Amino acid sequence: MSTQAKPSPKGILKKTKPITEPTSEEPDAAARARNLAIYHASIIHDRRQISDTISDSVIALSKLPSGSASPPPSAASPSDDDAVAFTSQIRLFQPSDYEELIEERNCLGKCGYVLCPKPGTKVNQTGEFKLVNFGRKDFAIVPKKEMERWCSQTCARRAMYIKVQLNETAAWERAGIEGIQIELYQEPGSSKTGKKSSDPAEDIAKDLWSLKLEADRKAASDVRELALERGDTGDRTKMQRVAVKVKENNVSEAPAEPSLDQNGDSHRLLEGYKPKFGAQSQKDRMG
Amino acid sequence: MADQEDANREANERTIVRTWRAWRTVHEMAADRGYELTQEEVTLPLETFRDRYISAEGTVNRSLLKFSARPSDDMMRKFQKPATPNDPSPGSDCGTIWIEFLDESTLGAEQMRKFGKFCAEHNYAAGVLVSNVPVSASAKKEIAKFAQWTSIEWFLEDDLLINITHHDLVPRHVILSREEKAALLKRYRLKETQLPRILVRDPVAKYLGMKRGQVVKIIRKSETAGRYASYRLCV
Repeated sequence: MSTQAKPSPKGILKKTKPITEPTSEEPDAAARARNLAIYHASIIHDRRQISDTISDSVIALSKLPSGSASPPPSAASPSDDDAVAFTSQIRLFQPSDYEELIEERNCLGKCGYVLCPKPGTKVNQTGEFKLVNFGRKDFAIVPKKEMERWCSQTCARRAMYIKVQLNETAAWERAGIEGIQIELYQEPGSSKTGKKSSDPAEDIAKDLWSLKLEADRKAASDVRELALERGDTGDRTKMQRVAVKVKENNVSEAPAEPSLDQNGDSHRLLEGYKPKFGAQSQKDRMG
Repeated sequence: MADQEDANREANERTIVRTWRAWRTVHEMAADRGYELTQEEVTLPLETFRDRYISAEGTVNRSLLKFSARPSDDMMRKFQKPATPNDPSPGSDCGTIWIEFLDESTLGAEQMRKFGKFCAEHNYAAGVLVSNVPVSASAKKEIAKFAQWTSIEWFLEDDLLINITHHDLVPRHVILSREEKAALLKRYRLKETQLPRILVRDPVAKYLGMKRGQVVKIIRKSETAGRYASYRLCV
């Protein structure tokens, strides 16, 4: 009986408030948290999409050059379609992606330079390394894999010319920037370096082609500006997270000209403050 | 001329034997993982292999070298997902496996993507691609993209010529189920990270198809204790 009457034992611990207090702010906070989560998720989504595009490009570029062109293209004079496809898709690549592309092409038995139709060289030996230029001054021991990457030295130069133009920054930070243009290696014998080639028709075709490129670039930027005007920003990272309010400082009087002070103490002021230290000690000595 | 033919035939013969050995090892691997295979399938003699998978020209017909296997009930029970209030009877982590020998002369990102798509579309929980050529880096990257639907593994034919788990110096490895792992951690009052580790790309871990976070029990022979068990967390 007595057990029933006994009140439940009292805790000695401090009473704590329940953790969640329903406040008027809470739904607002929840919505804000949700928006923030969605915002970050969409950034990740965009990045994934870009990396997917890059791996799609790796597959597409590893199949180039397309063999349909009527004069069979060579690495020195690729067909225009291939060159455009290459330079436009390579823009998003990092140097590491480019290395992967070269490896992928080697895997398919092709020369590592994208616009080269030749197969890669095969080193006929087992073993990891190969001796190059044996008995000469520029003797070197080179990994066999390194030897099999290119069909020739010139192709290696062409491919490396592309590689040094690529940027280490993450692809999604460069995705919208039109200014990044990758240029193909200028063949030593070709025109454009001052002297005109023998065929004027070829020059005109080249000029036309660059005009077309220019027009394409312009069209793309116009489309983007129009989208911005209409208010749909495709790039979520560019969206502002903090509302910035510009508050002007109200000025009622005209600024006064600075003047020298009357008592001539200005040389002792430290940023407008006159230290009392020296004055005090002087007074003590006098007293 | 005759010499050339002889050399060709010899090379062909070598390829046939190599492929047969890989074919057997892959079956043993599936059986060891717990998939249902008949004894006859696992111990296929070379003569039968020749009859079935050699084309008229005397080369291996790789397009025929593919099979699927269902997990046994034991395996299903072992890799049961933990029950939650929302989902009182969840399925198993493992499902039907699809094993295929690469039919092409290269293994790039495109081939890997094709294989991944095939496995995902046909609802295979796991896919194993056995390749006789090296795999490119971007092909390996493709695997991660299918992780949500199917787990893709790849092996080189060269690595499957012998079954490494049959080697004298390789002790027995047993993967622990979720409950066994929890019991082990409780028994020794350990956190997961305090266990010794084994890499996912360890040859035996690859053979058993281990995933990150699983624990494997390694049973060694010991001169003093008879048997000695140690545990490794897969990282």
